[in-house]
Amino acid sequence: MRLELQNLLPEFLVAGAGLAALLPELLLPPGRRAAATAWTSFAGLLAALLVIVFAPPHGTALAVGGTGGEPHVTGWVSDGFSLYCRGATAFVGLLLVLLAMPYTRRLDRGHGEFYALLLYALLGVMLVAGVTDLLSLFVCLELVTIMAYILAAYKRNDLKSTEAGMKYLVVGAVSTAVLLLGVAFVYGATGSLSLVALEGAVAAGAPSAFLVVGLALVLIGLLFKVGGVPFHVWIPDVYEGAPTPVTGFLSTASKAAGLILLLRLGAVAFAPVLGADGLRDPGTLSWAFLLGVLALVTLLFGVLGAVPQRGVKRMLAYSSIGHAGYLLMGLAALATFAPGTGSQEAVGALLFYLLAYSVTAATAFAALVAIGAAQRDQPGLGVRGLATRSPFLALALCLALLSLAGVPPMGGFVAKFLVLKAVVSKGLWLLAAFGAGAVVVSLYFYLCWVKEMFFPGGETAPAGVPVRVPPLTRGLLVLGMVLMLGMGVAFGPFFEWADGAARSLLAAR
Amino acid sequence: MSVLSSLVGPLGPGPLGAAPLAASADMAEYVPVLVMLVFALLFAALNLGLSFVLGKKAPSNPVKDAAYECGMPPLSEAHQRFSVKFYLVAILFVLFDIEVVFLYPWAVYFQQMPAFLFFEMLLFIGILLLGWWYVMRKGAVNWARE
Repeated sequence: MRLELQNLLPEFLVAGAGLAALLPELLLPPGRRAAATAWTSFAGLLAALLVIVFAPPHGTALAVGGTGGEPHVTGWVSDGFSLYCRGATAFVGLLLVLLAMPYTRRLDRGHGEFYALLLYALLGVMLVAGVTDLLSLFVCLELVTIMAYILAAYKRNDLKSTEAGMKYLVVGAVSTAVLLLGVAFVYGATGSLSLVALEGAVAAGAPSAFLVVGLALVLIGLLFKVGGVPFHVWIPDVYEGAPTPVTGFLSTASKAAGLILLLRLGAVAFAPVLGADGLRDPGTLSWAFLLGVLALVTLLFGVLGAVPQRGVKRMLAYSSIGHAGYLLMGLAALATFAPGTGSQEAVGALLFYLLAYSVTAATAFAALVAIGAAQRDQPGLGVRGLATRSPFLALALCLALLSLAGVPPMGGFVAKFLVLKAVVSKGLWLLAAFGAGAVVVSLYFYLCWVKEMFFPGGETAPAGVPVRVPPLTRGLLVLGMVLMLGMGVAFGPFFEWADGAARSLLAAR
Repeated sequence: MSVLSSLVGPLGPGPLGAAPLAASADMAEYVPVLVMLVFALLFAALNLGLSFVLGKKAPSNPVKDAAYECGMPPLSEAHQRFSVKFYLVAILFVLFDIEVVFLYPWAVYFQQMPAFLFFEMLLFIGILLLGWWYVMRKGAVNWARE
């Protein structure tokens, strides 16, 4: 066994920051803990991001064999795909640390623990990006979800938060069991946990029933994580009950972990296989059809479910299910057999979508956290009539909602466009038509919320005192808005990165 | 474990080991498990059936339906809330238990190992010590305080 730990340097930095975030809890007086832990976490994530951008490590971190007659098997790899995902995770992590600050400042205890748990969850997402083995896949994914259970129930004395944590734990435990059962079946069928061996078994054609059942169970386990119908039931309650910064984490990094794994697995198990005569259709496995149907149902459920919602967090939860529909649509395109470079296009589109969606959701939740922090001084403050209280917050939330809806100058539009383009280039016209139709419906309910903010109508909320937005939140929101607009207008470099990562993912095949 | 593996046959190579793909996809290897399952079901059904046929039958009464507490009349409900201290002790026990699990093979291998592993273990114990300090500062074992 060979360990090359230098390839895990960004992860070590994040893990170290997670430990260091606990120290202020032990050394400093309560009043100074929140800021100290937050900035420690920020520094750790920033260092990890700098390493990934300026000194990207390439190679494996855990390798077995490779000498003599044995084939070389890896458990974890740092390639272009994992570097993109880890970089995006570290960046989104920075946004999450900043957006959590107004929340943690109001906590009377447990500042260090909040950031330590958040950092370990982010560490899990970063580790997930590099897995090439079903066992490391399971361990890394559990690191994310176990931290997320605790974070979801972080408001210990709040019934809704406790309930959210409990529901998440129960549903998550079931999905973990299903995932593990699937891993066991795949192991039984191929005799190995390596994704390379899995790819070989799929490419050999005529897969055994064990293998198909195993892959289906693993797919179900991962669909729980991204929130695809029919495994979405936990999302609205957990998103609503969890503290707002945690909801931000769940809808960005946690969702990303599921999608990253679906891409890793999809590239070796669901995509058309590489035969002697170029790409060929696996034929017996109709993953594309299955994923297409799931994408359709998820999209319909998310979009139609969001229309009647009266709470903004619950609306965002359904919107997150709808976005899972677009992600599954891209996966269906990846799994569809068609000549050309459509697969790379699909993976690139999904990676771009992931970053654009994460930045947008982080901006939206940052605005919600700021509103929540101001509620303490001004009870009754809500999204309704927000523009009269704080035009700045209203503008940030409005742009985020427009980006979620997919309105042209925003990053969300380019992301949706790229996914639909990949779907069309694979010839899935019906799916693309539904995707475009869902944009129209979602535009309706997002714009309803925009109207609530700017033109509440009826008994207008009293103009009241203007909301004070702390400078840090102000800076974060400006950054979020610039990025959302930047990804919509100057999407070239972002797309280049995503496309390079997609090439690296599919080049291994 | 040895009984199980003799029933099931070779379980294949370790998690990370590569294996020939065709060999283990053979479902015939799992037939003994099925046979054992059938026997287990038969054994349970046979014992229950025998006691049903041969056993003495008396009508049910409240005393018979009550929970058995060493022959004494039941005192209270079995559903009680336990103090969170018990869980803390249990979790802390597991942590230090795991430390021992790691330390033993490390100690056995100590003579032949590269220096890297020595510092690796120091790092591990350092992290654990940090956790121990955290536990003490937070008063997790300070029961008298409340």
